[in-house]
Amino acid sequence: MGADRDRHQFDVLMLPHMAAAYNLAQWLTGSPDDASDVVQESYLRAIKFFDSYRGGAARAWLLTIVRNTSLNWLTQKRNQKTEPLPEPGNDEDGAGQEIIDAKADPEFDLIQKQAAATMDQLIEALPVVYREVIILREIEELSYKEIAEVIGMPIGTVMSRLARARKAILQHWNRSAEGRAIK
Amino acid sequence: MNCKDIAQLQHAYVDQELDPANTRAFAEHLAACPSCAKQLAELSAFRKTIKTQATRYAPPPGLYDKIARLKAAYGTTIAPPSKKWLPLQWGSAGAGLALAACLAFFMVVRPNSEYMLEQQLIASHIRSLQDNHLTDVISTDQHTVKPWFNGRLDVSPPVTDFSASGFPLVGGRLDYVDRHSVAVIVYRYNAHVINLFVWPAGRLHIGIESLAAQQGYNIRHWYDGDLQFWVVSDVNPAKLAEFENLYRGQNK
Repeated sequence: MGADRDRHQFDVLMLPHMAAAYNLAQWLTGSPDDASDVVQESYLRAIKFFDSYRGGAARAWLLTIVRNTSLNWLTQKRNQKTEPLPEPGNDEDGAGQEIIDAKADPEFDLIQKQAAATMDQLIEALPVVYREVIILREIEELSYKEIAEVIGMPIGTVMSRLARARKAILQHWNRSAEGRAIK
Repeated sequence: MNCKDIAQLQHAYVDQELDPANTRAFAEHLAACPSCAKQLAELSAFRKTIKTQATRYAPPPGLYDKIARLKAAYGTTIAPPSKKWLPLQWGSAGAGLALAACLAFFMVVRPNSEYMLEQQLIASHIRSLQDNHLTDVISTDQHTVKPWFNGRLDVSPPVTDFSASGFPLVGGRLDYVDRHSVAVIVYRYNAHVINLFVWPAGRLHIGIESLAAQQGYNIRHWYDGDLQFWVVSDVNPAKLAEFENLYRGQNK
């Protein structure tokens, strides 16, 4: 009976969040195939470590695993290509600094020339540390506290990254508004 | 609060992450400062743009089954849940064990936060009756109450007067639930006050519908579009259900 209940608990708590898990994985890995693999691996870890789940927001707990699995996946992939992961830097300073990096991303360069980027393209162009807070807040609607738990950072960092990410997207969005109007 | 504070806190404000005191101070500044109000409106609008324009990637059709199979293979080896969920000692008589299992299950599907939320809604309802704080805007005119919420909150709840059906509109107020500002639309049924709380659907994570009678009050809860609704009153459950149907029907 005990095992039945545990199995049922896992189903009730963790399975409903598969859509959120997949969405985050695809945004972080940038590929549907990688996202499917990451989600499966994440659920496997969630099953293994379910006894360390201490109640509270099940979605945040699962997304923490998905996020870490995605970043590991990215690190492995980038190591093969010998490209470093984007560093968060000290995001409390230099609030006006450009965080959508046009140079590092040729595709983004192209977007600027077209002057009509879609929202998806702008979010994709963000370094992963900013992209993840945008996805968790704007699409998955997690609270700051939950986001802090998922990314393993203080709430203040969540707030400052979110502010900078929104500011960066807004700037580029307005800049490309003209291009969209012409289209 | 000055304009510099506003610029710094605006993200926390639109995310409803400010504490009640700061939320109030923030809202007061906005009401008095058109330039900050404009900036905030722009930020709120842009958040909606992000939300509507950004893709939420959907998992491929077979993935759910794959994970279910994955779990089935592991199913029997899942460790027991943390002791936190178990309010009673295991190992007592069979009946006690069954009761503990039921309680543990009950607590899992009905998280503590939801119970706390209901407590807060009831507390707010009681406060509204006692302190002469029932309404911030007193009006039986829906065209006065609805615009009053605009600019004070990022939700614009539907407001309809149901006098003809016995539920006259009394007014509206801002309240604070779970550290967030929420809209409250106030109705009456005879001598009974009905408080209808409204806030964005995704903000608090409430799992299941609740019709629990608590401390003699009745609560109903539903979602509609982007909003969620909680209605608290001491009118009888049938009347409250009638009110819900009326409200949901009128605002379709």
